[in-house]
Amino acid sequence: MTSWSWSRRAFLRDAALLSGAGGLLAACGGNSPAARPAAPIKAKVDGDLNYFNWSGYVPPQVIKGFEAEYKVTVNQTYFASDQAMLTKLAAGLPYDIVFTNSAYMRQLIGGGLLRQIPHGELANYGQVIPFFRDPPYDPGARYTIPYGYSPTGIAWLTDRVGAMTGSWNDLWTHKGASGHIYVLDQIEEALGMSLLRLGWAIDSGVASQVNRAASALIELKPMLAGFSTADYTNLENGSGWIQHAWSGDVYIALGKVKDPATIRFETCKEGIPIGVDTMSIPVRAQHPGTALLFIDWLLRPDNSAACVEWMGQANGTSTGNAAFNKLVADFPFLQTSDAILTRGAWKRVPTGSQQQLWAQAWSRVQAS
Amino acid sequence: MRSGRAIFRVLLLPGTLWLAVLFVIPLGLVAAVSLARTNIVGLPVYGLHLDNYKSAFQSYYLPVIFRTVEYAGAATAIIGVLAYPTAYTIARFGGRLKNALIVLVILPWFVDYLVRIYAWVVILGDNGTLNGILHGLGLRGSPPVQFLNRPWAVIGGLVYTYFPFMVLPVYAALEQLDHQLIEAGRDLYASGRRVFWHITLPLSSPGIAAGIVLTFLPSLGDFATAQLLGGPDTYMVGNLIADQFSDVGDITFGSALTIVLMSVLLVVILGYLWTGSRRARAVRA
Repeated sequence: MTSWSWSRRAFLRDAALLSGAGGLLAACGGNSPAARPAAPIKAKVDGDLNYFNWSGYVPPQVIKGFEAEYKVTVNQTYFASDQAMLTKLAAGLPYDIVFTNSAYMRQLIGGGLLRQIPHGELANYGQVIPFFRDPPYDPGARYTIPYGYSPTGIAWLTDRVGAMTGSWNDLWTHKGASGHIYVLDQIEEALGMSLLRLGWAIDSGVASQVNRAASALIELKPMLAGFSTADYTNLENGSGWIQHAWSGDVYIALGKVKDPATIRFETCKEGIPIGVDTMSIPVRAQHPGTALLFIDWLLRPDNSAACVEWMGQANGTSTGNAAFNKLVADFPFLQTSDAILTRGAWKRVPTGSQQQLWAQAWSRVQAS
Repeated sequence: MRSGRAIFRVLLLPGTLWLAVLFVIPLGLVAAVSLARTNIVGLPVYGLHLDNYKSAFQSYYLPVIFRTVEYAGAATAIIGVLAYPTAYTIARFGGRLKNALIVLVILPWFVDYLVRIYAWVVILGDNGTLNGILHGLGLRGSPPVQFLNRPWAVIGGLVYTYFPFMVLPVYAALEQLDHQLIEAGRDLYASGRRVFWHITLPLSSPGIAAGIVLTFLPSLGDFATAQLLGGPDTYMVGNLIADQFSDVGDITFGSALTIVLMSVLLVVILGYLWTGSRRARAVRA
């Protein structure tokens, strides 16, 4: 019974914050939900859907359609950052479906927070393009189904700056745009971009490299208007002449300005940061059957196309990606291709001591 | 008498419980987390690690701390200068409208604080209302005046937000002021200015002290104002802490920073209590 008492101690130590220790408890025969070898989920209605996502990320008519089709209610809750999403899942909140992000899979899968998705239960799984059936962040796609992705690059206002070179150096070299340059206010984007520019891995855990990348951002700071994730707003209202941006947000900005010819976007030769928002079912889900039906609903070709048109991002289904390239037909610089996925630098949020290293480096950038 | 005391003890119970459950226990958790390390999903693994405190005292955070104290101090001083005449006017000349005027002062708080700060973003933005007016008057067209991302925008936001917290205690002090003392001063041929400096101001100083505490402390911990009205150069301690939780996911470091900040605030509070007790002794003497 030593193993039992060990797990009990672990239980007391971690109080209510158990989910993270789920894997350990499983090994010790504890009885947290994570520990039960869960039977494969069946795609059938087992209750209303507790839905956890970015606000406004799925078109309302698609959600209403699901409610009408299956006679269930979708209870929507939102998060404001991936980190907040991770924190809530780790705390064991019983969401049925959550829109996760590929950059957090070490935490989400490694921490035992997600349930396996039986592909055979998804009538529309054939829609998922081959890349996403075996993506680098989730081999075999056992825990994730893609929902939306857009690579990171640099957007600029053509009437303010010229001569962009397709390199991350473009953020550093345009002295004339000083005070009108924005870098994304997200640790994995800002530090990752700086690492790529210096020729290192986007998720480097080498202290000297991470600190050098942070120092490069500090050197850039006097030229910055700020760190901001409101990239489309900055482009639309003209305050960001050069903006470290997600291509999907550039598409939104293009739809809002009077003359779309004034906004351009480039990806950079040192590396294209890429991540995908994914659909997952948490281990604590109480209605995983309904969640599986919801995933299948979003994969259905008509809904998949509707989602793409709503959010302006490719989504990793054959119908959706075709709809996307049609949507951005006028903006060839936004087109997606398999090459972006296979060659892209996949973002990964560090864990453990590497996370401390990154957190300290990023705080130094913010504080300097 | 005994039964009366017992009643007061019972009446104390809900408040004590409330404080214990909703303040002391969470604070203890924050302290425990500040000494912990995180596991793979970012949850605390409790222990006795001081590395978070070591990180908190890195020299590159010093500018953030100085900036925070500077902004909170400036905001408190400006609020004091603006709020005292407001409170004085209402207390002395408000007449029957006194209560209505005080309600007007706190009226903005009927709307959520974040919503009001967002409103300032709309007013001060490059394409905002203020630039529109300037443009309309032909004063400044293009490029627009940059109001946001400036220290004054953040200090202004703090002044705007915490202004009522100074008006209320100062008003309460002035309202209770014994007018016979002022009349006595005037009878003894003191000028209006001398009466103010020697009678009104000293007697309202407890209100000012309370107002300083009520505006300075929340300004020190504020993060939304700097986040929305400020930029990379207006980063405050509150932002540093908030980012540990919402962006970076280092809750142990965020907790250590919280404890450090709270210790500083505690010193301010103790200072306030100490001057208060000294003042009480002086009055008795």
